Amino acid sequence: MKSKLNLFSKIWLYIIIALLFLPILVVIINSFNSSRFGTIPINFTLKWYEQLFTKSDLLNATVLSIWFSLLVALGATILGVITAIGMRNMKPRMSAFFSLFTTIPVIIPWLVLSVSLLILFNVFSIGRSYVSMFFGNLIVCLPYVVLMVSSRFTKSSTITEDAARTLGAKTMTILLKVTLPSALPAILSGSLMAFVVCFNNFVMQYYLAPFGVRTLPLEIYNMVRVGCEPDINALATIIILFTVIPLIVIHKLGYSNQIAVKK
Amino acid sequence: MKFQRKDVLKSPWLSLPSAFLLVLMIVAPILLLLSYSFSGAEVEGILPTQFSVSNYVSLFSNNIFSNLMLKSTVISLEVTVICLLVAFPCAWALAKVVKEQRRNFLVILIIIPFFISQLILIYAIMNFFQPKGILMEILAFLKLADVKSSILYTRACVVLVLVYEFLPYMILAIYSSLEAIDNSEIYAAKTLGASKFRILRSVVLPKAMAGIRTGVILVFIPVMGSFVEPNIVGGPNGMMVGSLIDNQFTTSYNMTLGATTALVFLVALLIVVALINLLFNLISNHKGVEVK
Repeated sequence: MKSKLNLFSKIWLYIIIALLFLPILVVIINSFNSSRFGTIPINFTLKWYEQLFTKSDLLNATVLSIWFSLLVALGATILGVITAIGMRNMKPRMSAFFSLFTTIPVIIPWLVLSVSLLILFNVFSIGRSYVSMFFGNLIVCLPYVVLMVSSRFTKSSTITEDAARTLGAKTMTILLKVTLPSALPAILSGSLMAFVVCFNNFVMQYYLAPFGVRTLPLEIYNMVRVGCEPDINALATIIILFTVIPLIVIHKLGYSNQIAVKK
Repeated sequence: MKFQRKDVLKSPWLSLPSAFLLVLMIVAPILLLLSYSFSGAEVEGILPTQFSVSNYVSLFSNNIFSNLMLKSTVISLEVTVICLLVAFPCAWALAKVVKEQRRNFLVILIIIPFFISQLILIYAIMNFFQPKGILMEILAFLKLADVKSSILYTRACVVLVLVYEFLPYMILAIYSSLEAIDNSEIYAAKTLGASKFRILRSVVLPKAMAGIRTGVILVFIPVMGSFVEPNIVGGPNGMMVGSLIDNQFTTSYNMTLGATTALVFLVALLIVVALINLLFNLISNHKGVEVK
């Protein structure tokens, strides 16, 4: 199909993609620029990276965020997979209702959800703490795992499992050798999603993190409110690289289309 | 016949733990929000003991909340409409114009920004717009603006940042519905002599409606609830209702008034979303009649 409208839309697409990436590219270029304000011409330097790894608080925050997100992703994956296995055994109407129920944490604005969770944890007199931060992030990461894994389970039949059972396999053996391997790509994609969502979830961490503890989004928020610090450029560059890599992994596993539809 | 033990892997009760968690972490907090909003005094113990509607009275006694709610709705509609207009041609090009081999790569490119932390995206935009930043240098070089000026800390900047953040959602939502349109339908319409506008109206738009609806909901709801963007780039004129809720919880520590505000905001949001849904139903019914 060749027409002026199609040509226009194609050029428009490339312009928009370029505009989406322009600010990100500027950050990356500035991370190598010795001037604070990113003035041209660019004098190449690595001093912001040096500052990041020696003086800055950003690195500690990043390490904390990575560990925390790994823990949440692990929790969400275990719980999500168990849930998805259970949903597969429900009657169709029940499982449709349940998957709607599971997506509520994504539909309600996170601001409302996190302030009401803050009240809840205050009632339990836990308040702001690692425990509340863990559960708050867990509940918003869970839907991604459940949706991704359960879409896989409805497609695959339980025939192989039944075969294994007939041949005398124990439940644990079936789970580890048949059920989980058959859904492995979906489980991996789901847990990566959970990791990324948790890693980037500012709002939950803003309300539920213990006082004085700063995860990466909180640290960046505080720095940005004060003014631009050039070592954020260096960190942003590293983070962008680390975001792009899991994405390519998901793409290679063949789940990129699914994410596009689910989110 | 041998008694067969029911296998755990066949039981629907495996979903029970997360059902319990969802009730505890979603239903219970919202109910708490409700009970706090009717509390007459700051809650001392576990649950409110005095009940009154004083929070609601003070919320509506001045028009701070209603003004901010209205302003947020207008900003969210602006962001949604801009995203829609910008995204539609992109999604069309992605679904129907670019070569198949290149399409997956372009989709990945569009997915990348929505996996990058919101804070980093905001920071990138700020960095781009800041006085003496790259954009201002270029504009100053072209003698279009002063190098020290910037659009940061204005209402327009809030809209711009939100569009930048949420555009990928819209593009992907519309793309997935456009991709499902069979090319032969478009060819058929063309062969039968339909004009480009007619094809767009009668073939493409009815099928794209589902994606547009998803995109509008995906953009509108989070934008309404945003407070980070207004707080960071909004300046005095860019405040949204999210900033007000945030203020009551983190600055003035007025939990009961905050709960009231959050709850009224949630209800108002659901009403606006229901209205948007209704509008879409009307449009698609109208289209259905027209196609007949």
